[in-house]
Amino acid sequence: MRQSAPERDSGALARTADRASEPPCPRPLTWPPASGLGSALANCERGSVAVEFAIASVPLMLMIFGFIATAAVFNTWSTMQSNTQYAARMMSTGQISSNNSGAITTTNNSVTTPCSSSMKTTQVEYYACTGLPTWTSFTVTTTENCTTPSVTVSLSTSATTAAIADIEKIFSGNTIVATTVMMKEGTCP
Amino acid sequence: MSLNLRYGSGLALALMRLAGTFARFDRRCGRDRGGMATLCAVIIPLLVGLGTLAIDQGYYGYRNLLLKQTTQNAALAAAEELYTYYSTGKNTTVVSTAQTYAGNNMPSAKYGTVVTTSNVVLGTWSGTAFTAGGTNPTAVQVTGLNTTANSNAVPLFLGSFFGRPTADISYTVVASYGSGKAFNTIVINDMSDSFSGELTDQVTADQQILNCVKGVVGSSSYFGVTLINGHSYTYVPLTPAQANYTTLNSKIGDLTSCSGSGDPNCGTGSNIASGMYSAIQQFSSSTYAGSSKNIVIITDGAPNPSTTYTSVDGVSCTNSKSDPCTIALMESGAQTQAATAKSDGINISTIYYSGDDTNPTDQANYKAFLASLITGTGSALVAPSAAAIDASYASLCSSIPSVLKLAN
Repeated sequence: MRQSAPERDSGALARTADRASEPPCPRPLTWPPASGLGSALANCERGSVAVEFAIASVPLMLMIFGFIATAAVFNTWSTMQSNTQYAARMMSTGQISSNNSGAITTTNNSVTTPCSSSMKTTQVEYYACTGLPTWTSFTVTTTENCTTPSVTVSLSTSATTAAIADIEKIFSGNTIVATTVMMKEGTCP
Repeated sequence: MSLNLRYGSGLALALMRLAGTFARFDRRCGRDRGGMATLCAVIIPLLVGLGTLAIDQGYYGYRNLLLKQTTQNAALAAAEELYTYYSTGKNTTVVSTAQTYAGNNMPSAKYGTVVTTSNVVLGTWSGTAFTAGGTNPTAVQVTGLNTTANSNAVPLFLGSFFGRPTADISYTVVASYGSGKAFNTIVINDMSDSFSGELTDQVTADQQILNCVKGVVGSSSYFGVTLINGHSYTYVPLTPAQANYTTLNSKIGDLTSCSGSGDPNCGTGSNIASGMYSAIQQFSSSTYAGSSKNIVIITDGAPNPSTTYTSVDGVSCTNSKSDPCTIALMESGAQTQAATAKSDGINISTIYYSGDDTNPTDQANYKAFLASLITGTGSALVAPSAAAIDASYASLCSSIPSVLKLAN
């Protein structure tokens, strides 16, 4: 809730009054300082709140960045999971019959490639890579197994970069992987 | 930082003011130090609590999505295997398929058993609701569980601070056939003498398949009937099923005997390859390019060479000593047609009934022969009785690509 102007003014006046009631901190006008100045500075309480805040803000900021990093990871992970499902369904139903290397055949049935903007709508990887967060890079793997028969789409990315602000290195060295496995419907090459 | 404090008017400014309040309070109490410490003692647990809530909510959202997708994938895969219920009379394959795909998406070592055996239920989809049980199941209901009762509840990172270390999620999906896309179908009826006693059952099956094709799959499906003896005869050419349903149904109902059907080939043997060749030619029109093409062969499986066959019969022989039309040749001809159908993207299903032949060896051979003709999403069905021939339609319908019908 915002304060009204009079309330803000009264707050400012109160602060002014507080400061006015405090003894002025001695200033060293000469060097070396006069005897007893150190003791006076030590007893001075002006600015103590700012100093305490500076100390307390460190763990506070660490926590806030930790929350941001974790939220970014879960957001990325969920998006990856949705995308793999979509791509797998397109592949499973035969709506998309090509991967990044061309038409899916008995020999060209598994591809691993980085997501890129150059992917075409005729390639299953396009559907796995569309709409992913832009602050990290992804690798997509698509596999069509006619023996089972099944299709598998996996997306992976570095958890550290997915976390955006992982200053505490919470996710360092970890990889986020989202995988969807669906039964292949229709004709399998 | 100072700029932020002065102009930020955000969290930092609010904290600074609050700190000032605490400090003044402390000074009034005769002590100035520790104002920020007091503030932190109040604010930090609050922030930790809210942050914990946000983290757990994010993880819960991810697990909810994962369970939803896993259950959907399990249900779709199970529905693809629904036809096995008709060939085996058991739901074993349907259940195991659901569990396999659930495990592929959420490995049991990490997530526990998400789909239990009792949570895969066969039933009927009416178009709006699922009813468990029934003799002709058309749908599969799968429930995925991440619950305490199932010993695989979703763990919360810091939820135990609030007395909630885990959360329960469950998700139920019904999958059935009917993608809304065309499912063009030609039924091949065996009109040979050996199968004439089952003609009534074939007609019923034809009508049920017509119902399935026109009613469930979509309005753009074509339906046709081709008769076979030694040669093929196009009894009903491919026709839009929904727009001409009454005419088609009536025409099929008129099929009471070979001689009354207008088929000029009655009594010329039994040659499945001829019907397959005819159906493949009918599907070669550009009208059906890129759409689902399906052949359903209803037969007792017994090839009966009794005349000369040419290429339009799917097999060529003069039935002479030097060029005999053997059973092996006719079966090989049918398999060649099946290979052509496969390359053309045509799915072949067969419905076999032994008819008059009670020889177990013959029955085994014919079943194996018909199974060798299956292509694509087709299935080899075996009717245990003549009456069961018409029930096979449900199994055929279940081979139509599955879609999710209900999820909650």
